[in-house]
Amino acid sequence: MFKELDPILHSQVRLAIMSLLMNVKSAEFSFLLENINTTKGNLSFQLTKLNEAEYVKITKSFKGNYPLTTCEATQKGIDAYEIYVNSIDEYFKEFRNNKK
Amino acid sequence: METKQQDFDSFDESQSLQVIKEMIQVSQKKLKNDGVLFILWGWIIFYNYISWYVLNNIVTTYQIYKGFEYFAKGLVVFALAFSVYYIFRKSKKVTTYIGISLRYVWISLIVGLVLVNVIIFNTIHEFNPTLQHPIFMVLMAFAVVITGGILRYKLIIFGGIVFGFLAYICTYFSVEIQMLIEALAWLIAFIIPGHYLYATRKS
Repeated sequence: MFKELDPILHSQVRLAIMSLLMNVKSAEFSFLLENINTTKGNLSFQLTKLNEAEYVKITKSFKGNYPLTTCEATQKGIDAYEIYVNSIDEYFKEFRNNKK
Repeated sequence: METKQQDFDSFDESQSLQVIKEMIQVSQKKLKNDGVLFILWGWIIFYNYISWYVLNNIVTTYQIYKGFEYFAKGLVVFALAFSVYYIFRKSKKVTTYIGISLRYVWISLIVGLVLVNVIIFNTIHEFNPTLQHPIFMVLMAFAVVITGGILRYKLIIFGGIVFGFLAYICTYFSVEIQMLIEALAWLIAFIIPGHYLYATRKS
């Protein structure tokens, strides 16, 4: 069952990032950090992973004198997330059927 | 690399579901509309209509009249400045589709109000407040109902419907009474839902 799930999304932090980005057009790095229980370094690392997989688009700019990182889910990321959620859903359906 | 493999192995389907649930809850709580602009505009317009009625029907002193008039204008300028700051400048860490949709609705409404004004003037060649008021109220009711639909708040939708109904009622009365009816409409469609949104923003 594990092998059917997308390995890029099947990680606590990456899944949390994608779940948050699904509900918004874009979010700043600090917003993700506030709401995901992880460190700055790990969040940055996981975002890079998602960016490499083209699931997330990362834009770097400046807000005043401070650097600003904005993240946005790409269409590829949205599709992958939908497939992932459907797989989880199917797993639980199967689990319930087996229980009966 | 080993850590990543461990992360993959130890993370099961139930935990995935838990993460998704938690993040949906976070989004619902953090991205909830706080109703600040509803409260601000609701009270300012309410005050403007009530004071307009009082000044034109009760107060006769020129100084008091002008004082109230400038104060009301000042409040509108303040509300405009605050709204621009709140929508565009305030440090918001996320851009939501709801926010973008609402921006389109209210900017279209303002453009619509200006156009209706121009069309009325071009057609009947005069500014007729008795006619303008109910038409403006209908457009406003339309925007309030759409806003309620986008935010999925039945209280705002209800307020918008009442706003539209009161627009119809207005057509039976003079401009002075229309002002009072419109003040009531703003109370029902903006102030009450706004305070409700603000009170429940963190629940």
